[in-house]
Amino acid sequence: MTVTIYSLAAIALFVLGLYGLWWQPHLLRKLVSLNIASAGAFLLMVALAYRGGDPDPVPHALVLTGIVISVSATAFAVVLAARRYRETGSVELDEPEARS
Amino acid sequence: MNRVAFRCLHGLVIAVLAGLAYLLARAVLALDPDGRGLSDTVTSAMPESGVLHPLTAVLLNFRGYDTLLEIAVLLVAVLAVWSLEPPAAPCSRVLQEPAHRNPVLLVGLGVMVPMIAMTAGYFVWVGAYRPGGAFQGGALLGAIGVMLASTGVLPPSIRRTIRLRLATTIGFAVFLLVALLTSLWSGTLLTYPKAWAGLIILAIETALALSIGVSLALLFMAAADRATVHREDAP
Repeated sequence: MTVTIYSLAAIALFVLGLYGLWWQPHLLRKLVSLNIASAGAFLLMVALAYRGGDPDPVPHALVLTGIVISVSATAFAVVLAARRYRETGSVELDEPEARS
Repeated sequence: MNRVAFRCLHGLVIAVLAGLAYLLARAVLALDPDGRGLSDTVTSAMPESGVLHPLTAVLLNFRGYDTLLEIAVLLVAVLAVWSLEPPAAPCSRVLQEPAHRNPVLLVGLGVMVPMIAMTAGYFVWVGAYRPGGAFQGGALLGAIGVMLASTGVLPPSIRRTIRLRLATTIGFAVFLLVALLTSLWSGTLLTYPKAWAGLIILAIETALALSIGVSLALLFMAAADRATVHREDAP
């Protein structure tokens, strides 16, 4: 039961993060959304590892690896976004259509 | 794009994502609630791992390949960030601010930094038989870097000395060396001789913790430095 609640919450987080990544034009918002989505993925793996009594260490190890990867990707993305701001003066991806 | 089309697109995005959420939930609920995954396999292989904690055994022994690639990704991230941002002038603007001359802050740092460093060492050591290991220790070392950078003790545009580069690379280098030696010795990548497994894992973890800590701190400093420039440049 607990595993189900955590898994469904993780899926909700993941999809919310994807929504932000897809729809928010601002790069920083995309980045925060990406991190929310990856938090959802990590939560799902940790929750599913807990099925059947004692936790399965393999997904835990994968999540630990994934956290470090996601931190380094985030730092790289922040620097890329800052560079884009300096080069073009814009912190949004090129969207030809007007929003709203 | 006009407003109606925009609304339609927005609705479509939400519908697709809701469908995705439904499919994922179906997939998760269809899993065997008592599925044990690989935990029995790991438990039965534990005597060969050289450590007593299953998580460390998976990270550094059974799935050592993942960890090797992970430290490579971390190194590539630092290299990528450094390539994007050439080193700034050695004397950075943060050093010019007197904030870090606050005596309470400095005494606090003097107490906390050694304690965090000691805790990081303990985490690396304890990983052999309890939750802990290179990543937890490395994260704490990275936290020291973040503290020193955000209090202005370390300039964000840190000079890329050879020592700094060595500290960033040593985790990957040691791991790669072990991979090379084991593949020459036993013919398979990262298959440790059983008697040496514990020692090899401790050596890799120590080097990994140092590199992870330095890399995380460097990534933070690069990002923070850019953010500062960003703020000051803003109209």
